[in-house]
Amino acid sequence: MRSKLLIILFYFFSAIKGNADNIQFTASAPKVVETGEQFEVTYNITAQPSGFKPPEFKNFNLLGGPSTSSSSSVQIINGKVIQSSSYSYTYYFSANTPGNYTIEAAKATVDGKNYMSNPITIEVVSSGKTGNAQPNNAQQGAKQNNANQNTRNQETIAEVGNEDIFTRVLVDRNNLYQGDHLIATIKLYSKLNISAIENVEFPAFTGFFRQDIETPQLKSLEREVVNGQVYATGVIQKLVLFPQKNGEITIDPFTMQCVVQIQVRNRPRSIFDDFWGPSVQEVRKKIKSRPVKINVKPLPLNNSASFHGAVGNFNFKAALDKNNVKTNDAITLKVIISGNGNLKMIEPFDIKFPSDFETYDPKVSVNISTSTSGVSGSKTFEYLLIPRHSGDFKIPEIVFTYFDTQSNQFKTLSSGEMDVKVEKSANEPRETVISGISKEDVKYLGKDIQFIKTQLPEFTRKNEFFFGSLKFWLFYLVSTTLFFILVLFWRKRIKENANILRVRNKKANKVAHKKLKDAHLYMKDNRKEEFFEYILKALWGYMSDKLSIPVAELSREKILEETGKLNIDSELIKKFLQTLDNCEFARYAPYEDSSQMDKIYNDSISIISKIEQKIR
Amino acid sequence: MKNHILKSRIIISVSFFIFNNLILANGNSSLFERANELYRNEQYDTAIVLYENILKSGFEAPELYYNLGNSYFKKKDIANAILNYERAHKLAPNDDEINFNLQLTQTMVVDKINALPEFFLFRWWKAFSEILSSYQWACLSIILFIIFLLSAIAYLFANRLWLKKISFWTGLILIFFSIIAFNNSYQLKNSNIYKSEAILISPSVTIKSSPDEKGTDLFVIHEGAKVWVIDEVGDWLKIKIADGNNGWLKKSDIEKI
Repeated sequence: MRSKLLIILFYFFSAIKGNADNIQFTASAPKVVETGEQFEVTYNITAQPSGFKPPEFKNFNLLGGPSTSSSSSVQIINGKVIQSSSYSYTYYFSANTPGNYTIEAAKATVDGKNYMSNPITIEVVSSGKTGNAQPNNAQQGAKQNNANQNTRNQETIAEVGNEDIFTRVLVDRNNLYQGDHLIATIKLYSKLNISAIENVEFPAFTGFFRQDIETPQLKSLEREVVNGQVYATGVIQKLVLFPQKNGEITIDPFTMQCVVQIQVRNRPRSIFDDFWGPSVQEVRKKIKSRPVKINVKPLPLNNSASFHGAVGNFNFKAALDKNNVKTNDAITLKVIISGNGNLKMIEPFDIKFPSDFETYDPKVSVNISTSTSGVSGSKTFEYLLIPRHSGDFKIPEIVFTYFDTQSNQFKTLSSGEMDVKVEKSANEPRETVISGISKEDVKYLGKDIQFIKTQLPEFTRKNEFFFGSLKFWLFYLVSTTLFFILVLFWRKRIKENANILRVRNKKANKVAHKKLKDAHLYMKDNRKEEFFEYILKALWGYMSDKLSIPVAELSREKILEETGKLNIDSELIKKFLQTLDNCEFARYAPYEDSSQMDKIYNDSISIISKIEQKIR
Repeated sequence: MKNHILKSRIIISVSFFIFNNLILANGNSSLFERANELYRNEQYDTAIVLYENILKSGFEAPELYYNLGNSYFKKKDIANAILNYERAHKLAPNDDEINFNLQLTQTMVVDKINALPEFFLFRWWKAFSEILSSYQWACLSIILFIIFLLSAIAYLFANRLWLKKISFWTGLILIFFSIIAFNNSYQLKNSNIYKSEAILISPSVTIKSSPDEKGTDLFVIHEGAKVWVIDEVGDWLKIKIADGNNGWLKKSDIEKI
């Protein structure tokens, strides 16, 4: 129990100590003061100092101080104790001569350590023109206004001059490229006390893509010199604007209504006035900023296919999570674009993945913050790829082109080609197991004209055609002439041949008889062999001459066929063939009979003369 | 002696003619190769100039028109691409690459003209006549004619009946086909010389009802459309489009194939 308490106490004090280490020592003062005006310089330290040494306050009249004050607080949040204490030293000054003055840092000692505050700069302006212009007090200008009216009618409502309170739209540049951004600051300037702001109407910002920068709510005003006069100013809204078209774009006026407090003196003689302080009248004033003209230059012409309107200053990174996978394993391709510019406009890349990869729409994650330096952050595209087939694949290089606003040039970043090696996964169905494998159609990836013909053509003269040319007709002419020459020549030959045959036909009888005569001589000599040979020669030769068929081609059947065509009596031919048969039979007969030879000889003569009568 | 001089003169003039043609053809070949090189390096403008130079020298070839068409296509000049493909198609009607590119380019033409359906026999006949080029048909016609003569000889001098019969019928068929080939060659040549087909070169043309600027506007056709010229009056041409509509336009709007 006791130990627990000790631990708690230990934590308690250690927490305090830990807090004490983080000591802040700041100096604060108004930025702008007028001559003769009283102002405060306050030093704040978040711990109790053992010693405090202010700087030398040159150029200012010390009116009072330092007055010290201290506060401390203890916070316990979820058992965590935070103790904070602060000490402040306040000096009151007034300045005599206009100019810029710097107050050096003050030194404070806490627990033996020395801390330095920040130096501060104060601008002192002369108060000649407007007198005592103070945002926290009633305004002189308003008073003057009021005073004029009071002379006529004391009950009239006070009016506020345009110089006393106004608003402006400030842009960091008026001239920029399309797609680049500009920062617009809507600021309120006032010399009067403002008690409320109403009906804030932002312009439409036509022609711009608008993005608000987180602006803290307007609580306190800062002092600033405009045209030699001190105004209390506050930023109402900061915006980042991206022009969407080129040319001159006008930012329409920004309007709002302010409730300002104006001192009035309705009954100047009243005793209570002084006692209650000056009476205050609330006046509603509608203020309107001047329109701002922005000149937007079009981007220089860029034909590159990888440019899609990105303008700014970017980094580009593309990487695969793995290069070596098995089929059906997922791969992620991460494309990260980071930097400053119109990140929101960047569209996913159209990457031509190998068609054997199953691809999905990329997952887009955006991490963008809008600040006074524009829109910065990163945009990530995650492409999920699933290779369905094994092999070595190449993912083509991803090219990103943007317009660099610093160098006013197009810049192209490339990821380079990426190799993916896909191996067959173990559980991929083996090829030997064929069970309803679905064949894939060949995927046609694009349509284009066929490539030019590279082999040398045969050039011909224009409108010069083979048809109808001299060469063309010559072919016909020559071939026809050749044809006729050939026909005539052949005709002649045939005629000549026919003559020879006729002669042979006519002479056939004579030749046959001559041969028979020879045979007769051999018969007388009783030379049987020669006799029959001559008889046969005479018979065959006669038929050959008569039918115009060479002896070698002649046969009994041929004789029958050819004589049949010539319409010769078949009895006669039969007899002729009979004689032939007898002759051949007798030739090889063993016995020798001269009467036989005699008979054959006579038969031959009679048959030849009989056929001779029939065929002329 | 006189005969000898004449002969040598003929030889000289013929050889000069051949030589001259060879030189021109050689120059064209190197131009053609250079243009192809430029095309490969995607310098289509210069390639076009070189191809056109060959054409200006009076020579042509289907390959030349085809490559020129490709160059125009790459420059997205659809009308000129179609024009040159059509010219290539006329010279080599049966070339697959030319026909493919022509059809692909025709799909990019703005106008969709529904062609009047042609009688199927005409269609078949046209397709048949485009199987070969004019030159090829002419050669075929000559070859068939020579074979016909041979078969005629066979018929005249054959002493066998079957040979006579066969040679008679083959001769008849051969002369028939020779005449067809002759006719096709003639038709193809005519369509090349008497150019009735044309391609619209102007981006958009309003067809008038009469050869006059004040004529009623009939319809509008766009570049790349194919038209048939049917009449001519001064600067004006009467044209017909594939769906049968006709009207008048300025000569400068079209380029004859």
